[in-house]
Amino acid sequence: MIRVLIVDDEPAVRVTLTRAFSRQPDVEVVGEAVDGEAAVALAQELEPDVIVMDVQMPKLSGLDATVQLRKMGIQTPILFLTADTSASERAKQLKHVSLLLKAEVSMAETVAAVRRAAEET
Amino acid sequence: MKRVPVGDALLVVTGTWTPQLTFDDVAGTELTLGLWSGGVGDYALVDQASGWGYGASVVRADAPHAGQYLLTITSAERPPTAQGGYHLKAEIKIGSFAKPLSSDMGAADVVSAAIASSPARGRTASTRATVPGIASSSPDSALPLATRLNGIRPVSDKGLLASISRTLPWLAVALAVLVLCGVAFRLRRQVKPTGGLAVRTRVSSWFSNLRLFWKLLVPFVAVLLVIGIVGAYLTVHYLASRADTTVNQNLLQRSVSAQTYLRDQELYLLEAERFAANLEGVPEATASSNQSELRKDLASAVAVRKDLDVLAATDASGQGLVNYLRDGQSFSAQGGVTWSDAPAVKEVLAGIADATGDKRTSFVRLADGSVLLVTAGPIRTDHTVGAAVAALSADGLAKGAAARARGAVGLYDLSGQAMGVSKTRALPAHLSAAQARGNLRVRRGSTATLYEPFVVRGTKVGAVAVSIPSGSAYASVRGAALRLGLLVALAMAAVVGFGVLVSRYILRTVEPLLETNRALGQGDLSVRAPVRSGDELGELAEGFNLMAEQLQASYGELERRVAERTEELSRLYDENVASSEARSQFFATISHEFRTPLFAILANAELLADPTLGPESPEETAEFAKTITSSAQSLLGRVNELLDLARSESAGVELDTTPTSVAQTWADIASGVGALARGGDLHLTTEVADSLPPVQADPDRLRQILLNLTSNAIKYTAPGGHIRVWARERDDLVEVVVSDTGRGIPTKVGEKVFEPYYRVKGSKAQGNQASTGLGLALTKRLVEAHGGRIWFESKPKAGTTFYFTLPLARQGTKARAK
Repeated sequence: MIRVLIVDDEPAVRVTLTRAFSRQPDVEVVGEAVDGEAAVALAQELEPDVIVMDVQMPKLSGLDATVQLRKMGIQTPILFLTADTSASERAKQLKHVSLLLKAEVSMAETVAAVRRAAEET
Repeated sequence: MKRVPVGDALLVVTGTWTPQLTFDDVAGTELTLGLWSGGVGDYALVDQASGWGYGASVVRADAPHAGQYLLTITSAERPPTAQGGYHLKAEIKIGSFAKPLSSDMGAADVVSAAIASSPARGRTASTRATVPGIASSSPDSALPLATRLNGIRPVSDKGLLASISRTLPWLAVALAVLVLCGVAFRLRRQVKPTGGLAVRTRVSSWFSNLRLFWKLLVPFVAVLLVIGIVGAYLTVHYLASRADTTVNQNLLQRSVSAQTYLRDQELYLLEAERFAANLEGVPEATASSNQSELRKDLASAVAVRKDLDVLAATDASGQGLVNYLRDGQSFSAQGGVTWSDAPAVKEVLAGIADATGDKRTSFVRLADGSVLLVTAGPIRTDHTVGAAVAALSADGLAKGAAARARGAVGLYDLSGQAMGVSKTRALPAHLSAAQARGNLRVRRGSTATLYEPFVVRGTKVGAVAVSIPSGSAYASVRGAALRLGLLVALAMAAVVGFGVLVSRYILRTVEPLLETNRALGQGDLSVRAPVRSGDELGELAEGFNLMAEQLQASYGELERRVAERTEELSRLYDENVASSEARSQFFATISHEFRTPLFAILANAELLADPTLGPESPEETAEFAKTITSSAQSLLGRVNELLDLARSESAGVELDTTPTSVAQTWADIASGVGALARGGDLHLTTEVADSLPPVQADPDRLRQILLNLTSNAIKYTAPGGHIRVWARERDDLVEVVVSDTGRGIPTKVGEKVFEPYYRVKGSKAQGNQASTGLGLALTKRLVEAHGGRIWFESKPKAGTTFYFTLPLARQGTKARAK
């Protein structure tokens, strides 16, 4: 099973992602976070296989949260699901990170990306 | 052939009667004539004393020396033996000089006759110029002597004057050169080497490169030096020549006095001799050699001739019969003197007579070296039986002449040997040839001496030297020269000193200007030159200061403008950067805010359509649809908001105002806002009374305003905070207040919060609330479109309060505002 942590400040996005992932036989949503700070805390606590995370969030952005995680030595693959087209540049500098644009990719593709990320480890 | 100096031509001719030059010797003699300007031709030479003349031809005009011609005596006649008178019947056998001369003709007449008959008639004037030379032997006139002295030239003049005259110009030149050298040396250190420039350029640039001090001083000193030296030279020269003239005149007068004295003494001797010779009984006593008788006779003569040194009578052989000789103060008759060796006695006894008669005069040098002037005359009965001799010592003569002339007098024979000298310190014992020739003035040391021919009875027998001290005459000149030099030096020193002071003074005025100039050149615009005087330099300083002030003012203005401009540019840059940042932030936000609902819509739609992933129950399908609906509505709201702002920017806000109740409008959205607040865990307090008068507003816009402000407050307030909404009537307005306990807006942000796209840096909406950054901008436009006003008060970390006002409604009116 691929244990997934979902991070997004928009409830509709969290609900939708949870719906989609929970219907996959090999994917399990282990937690949801509304901002970067919560994401860092949950990632430490839950040790998910993959983190699906938004970039633009209150308190701590997805990118900053990733930097913190990497500093802590947590190398969990992260799949950014963002509407910010300008985030890709910064995301490239981080390890074990992939990026999908919100509303540009289908849910099927998103799930496939999660699986790929999980396989990397 | 003998050459005789011309000045002495007449004397030489006269001298043909003397044993030294017989008449025969003269014929064919070449004479050199000085000052002869008659040219070539035949002339008469006339002996004034005897009235006898000679024919003379000037045969050569090409004189060896200017003014000297050769005369050849072509013929001469021996005068007849004069016995008791002159018989001048001779004819001059030359030229047309045919006029017989007579004894009663005066000197001038004879000369005139000679000239009148001369071929050089046409040149009477110039011929006459030679006349003084001929007439000078006239013993009665002092004038010819003086005239003759005109020809005297000093051969040795070593006085102060001469040395001053000679050295002063050189001294001046040397001094000028010295000064120039000094100046040049001084300047070489100041003037940069100019390389291979032309000399003139170098000189002009030399002067133009001089410091002002030297420019002012050099011409001063140069002109003063020249004037001083030339003036001193001229003055000293004038004084010197004055002194010279004084000395010359003095010398001339003394010389004339001496000569007169000597002539007097000569006549005295002649008279004494004649007196003795003609005393009663003397001829007879002489003839009989009666010495005792003779001594008695002569004693009476001696008694009245106490000045004589010798009075004697000789027999026919020249043996002294009675000799009265002075011995100290007394005369004593002595014997044993042989007079036959004395030329005068010898000639008298030989019967030789000269033009003046049968008496002869000559100098006799005695064994002890002393010299006597001896005059002898015949003692006659019916024939010459002896000679009367009277004599004076040359020494005595010299002393007497010296006393008369008030100067030292020396008598010399033709060879230059001294015969009598009054003062041996002042006069030499032996004369040089030039001195012996006479007509010479010599000044040596502090004495001036005039050498004149010594003429006795028309015959030159030697030279008379008269010497006077010239020191006193020149001493005054020396003193004057010294004083003058001192005065010039003082004047120069004073002028130079004064020049230095003036230059210094002027330069001291210029120096601050230079300093100011340098400081200005180095960029210090605050310096000012001191204005010390009201002259041109003062004006210059004032102009300088004015210039500096203007420079400073315009520089300050320039700096101010540059600063202003820089500030403006900096501000524009900052604004530009800020606006660019805000814009990119805006697009990121828009992208996020629009894609997020879109994602929810698309994803749920995909899930609905997927048979494997789709809803497993009708409830689930409803949930999926609800998510899609709420997301679509959220998207719609955001689209509307953006469109509203865009519209308000391009065409203003369109209002459909009507009397609207604030309480009613708030009630429309209160439930929604309340839900939001609860979602953010916030306490919402509302105090909007129904009794508030209606406002003139567009109800939809008022709703939007209230929603924006409250949702903004909710977004930025941390959970547990308070949101308060209340309204009140103020004057003809209704004021609505929305306050929160959020983090507040930093003071520096101020009105920028109302700018589109602006977001307080670092701020994030709370919870799931999103913000486009357009809310406040749109709200402000809406409020102002209603004719209201919006503002806020904020304390960082304490909260923010937004106020807005709306006008009270007026019944039946509809407002449309921009």
